[in-house]
Amino acid sequence: MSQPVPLVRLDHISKAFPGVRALDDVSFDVLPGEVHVLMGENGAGKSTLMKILSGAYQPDSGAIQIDGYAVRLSDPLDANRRGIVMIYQELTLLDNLDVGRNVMLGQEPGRGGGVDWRALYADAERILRDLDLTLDVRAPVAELNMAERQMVEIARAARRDPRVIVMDEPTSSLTQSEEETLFALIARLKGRGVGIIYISHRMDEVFRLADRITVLRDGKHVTTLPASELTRAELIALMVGREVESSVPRGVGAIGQIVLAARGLSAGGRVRDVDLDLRAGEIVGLAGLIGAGRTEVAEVLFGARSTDMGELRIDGQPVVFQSPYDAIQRGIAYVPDDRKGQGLVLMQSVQTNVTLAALERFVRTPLLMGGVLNGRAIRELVEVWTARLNIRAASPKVNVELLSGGNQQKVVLAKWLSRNPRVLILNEPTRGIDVGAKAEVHALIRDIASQGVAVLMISSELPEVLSVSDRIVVMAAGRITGEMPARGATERAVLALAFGDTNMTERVS
Amino acid sequence: MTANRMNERRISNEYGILGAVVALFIFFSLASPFFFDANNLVNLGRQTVLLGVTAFAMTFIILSGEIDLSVGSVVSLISIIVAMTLRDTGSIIGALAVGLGAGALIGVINGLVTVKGHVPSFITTLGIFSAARGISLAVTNSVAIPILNEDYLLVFQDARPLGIAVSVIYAVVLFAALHFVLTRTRFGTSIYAIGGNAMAARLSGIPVDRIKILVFVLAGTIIGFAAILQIARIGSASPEVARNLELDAIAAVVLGGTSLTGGRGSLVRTIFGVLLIGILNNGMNLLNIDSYFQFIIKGAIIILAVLIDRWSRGRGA
Repeated sequence: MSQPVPLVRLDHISKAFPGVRALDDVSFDVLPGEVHVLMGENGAGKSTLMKILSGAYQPDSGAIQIDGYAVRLSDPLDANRRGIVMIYQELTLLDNLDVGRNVMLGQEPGRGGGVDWRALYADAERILRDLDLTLDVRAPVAELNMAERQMVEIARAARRDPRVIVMDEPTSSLTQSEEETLFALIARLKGRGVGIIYISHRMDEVFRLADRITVLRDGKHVTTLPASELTRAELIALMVGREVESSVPRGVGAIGQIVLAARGLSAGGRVRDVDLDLRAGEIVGLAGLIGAGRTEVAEVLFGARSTDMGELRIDGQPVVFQSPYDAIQRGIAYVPDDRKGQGLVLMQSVQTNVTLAALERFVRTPLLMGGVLNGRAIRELVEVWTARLNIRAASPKVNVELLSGGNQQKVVLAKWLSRNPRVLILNEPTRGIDVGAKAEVHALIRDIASQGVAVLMISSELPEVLSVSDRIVVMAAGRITGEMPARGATERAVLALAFGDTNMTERVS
Repeated sequence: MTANRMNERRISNEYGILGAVVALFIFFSLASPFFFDANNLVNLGRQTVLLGVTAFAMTFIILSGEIDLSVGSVVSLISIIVAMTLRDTGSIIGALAVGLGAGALIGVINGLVTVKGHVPSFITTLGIFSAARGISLAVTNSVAIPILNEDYLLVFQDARPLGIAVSVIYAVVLFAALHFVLTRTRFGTSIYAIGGNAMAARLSGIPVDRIKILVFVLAGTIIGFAAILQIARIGSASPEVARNLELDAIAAVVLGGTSLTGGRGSLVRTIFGVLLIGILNNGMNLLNIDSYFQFIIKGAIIILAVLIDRWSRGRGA
């Protein structure tokens, strides 16, 4: 079999930034109809390579070929015109417009000086139909779930007849069932000869989708192999260049008394009659589809969402939380799923972010203005926690926006752990962070629980729920549909409960 | 490496504004024989104090992610209230208390309406901007109230301990105190957090609403003090004073490089912006530039300075 001409070939690419060699002689190509997975820890050079492919960066040396011809991609628009399309982690849809207008954004068919609306919606419909997507072109994007939004994003890319689509962690905000929709779409795109570059940290989907896998480490090309010739353990070893514990030792600490108990919690239809007990030393995994009400439960427990009904007890004593402040004072900590939007003040330093939830503990002179802060105590505490959680930052003064996802997440964790919480609520604790950091976070969660903290962990990654939790609670449509010990639990059993409500049918087919 | 680069940039950026201030200073020294003169420099200091103190207040507001368009009108209203108190009671302490109290009260109104009423501060303070000027005009019937109390003028204007205008000393002390509040206290840290990401701040247990209202109250009180200094400087309170003061104050804060969206910036930066505008105003007067042209030149320089700032910081900053 003769080797087909790659759609795109990046040849011996190097790129340096002041002080960092981001890419060192890296080659990479995509064949027609192939899913080529690009893997590596955060900082390995994946994004830099993709930014060169999309024309956002110019390589210092090396060449780019499209269909075997050398080209120069002067900017993202240029790359786009040549059929290279990026689907970003942060979706770029306009919430206030409908599906059709988003799909056709920037390419609205004109009539006279205005827009030919009929043609616009007809074109949008045709594009969606070509991709076998059954979305209503008139539906406002604001009402779509994450998977549907992603479909719109891909449809927008598809209108230009793309040759290569780059997907950067496309499933990071999808539930398991929504992923299936995406995978089916990827299969259709493959069938049409589109080359897909797929960036992901999730082993399951990588092995399911990949034709070939390329691993980058520290800006260097480690290997490119057919997926069938690699095992999961080998792949992890290639990426991190060191051994990573793939599973977490479970249940070393004893499970103690109930710390936080919820009875009959209801909140605005999103949470319905939820009973939940969190025990000292126990990790409860909260599973369910997106929209099942898991985040809402967390927010109610943390005082960030008001309830219509129900009762919360801490150590058997009824409590009422008017605000997160009240919950924090009672020893509850919450690591939100939206790290950048809710967990961190990105433009502030590591130091500020780590101490943000505990400022009152550093007050030296409780006089005016909330008190004068003890700078030395702050620096010492931050030093302790950056060391303990292995936060890699040039200095505590560095803005957190400059850190990798894994290190950012550790900053959020440090913020809460420094308060010695009694209850730790984690919402998607490893979303968008690399394999090495993920293992560290899992070990950390275990460690925290073994010290007697009651942990509630929301996760859309079933392997994570199964491997990290002691007990699994499943929600669907705002209700708890079942629970089981994690030992012996299967993905299938959890999924069955996640679909437990007959009203919960998939909206994307 | 990125962190180092950012720090270098930040420093060069602050020096960039400082460079503009120095350049302007040298330019006017050469262009006008009257500029680099002890009397004029004292005068420059006094003129700039009002803008400086107002810009301090504006810095707090902007850092917390809000805006205050009402400061000019509020300075005029409070100056009238203070002048009437002084006229009727003769008490400097009383005048001071009334001025600061009125400022705090207006801050409470701005804060409560904005935070508890969920009205954008742009709108709240636009309303106060209009209402305060209207009240000033109505109360005085458009007639200025002279300040005849010699002691008041001495305390807030004429005294020159160590040869420095007393109002400049007030401004410097106020700067030091406010800088300390912003950088060393829980309140200050909370302001940066809220301006940077109000949601993350709330989820970290910071009482966002309370802090924002307090910021408005503090800013209002500072504005009250600005009014107290203002009437001492011009010797009367008039409903016409301090027009466009809010615009100069916002311009000074932004010129300093503080982000209009909040969470990023400092009072030190604001000082540079204040000096730039202060020197510009003073120098253009000395050069007898027509006041219409002064507005045009000032507008152009503000836009140019911020453009240069953006370019020097690179795209996306």
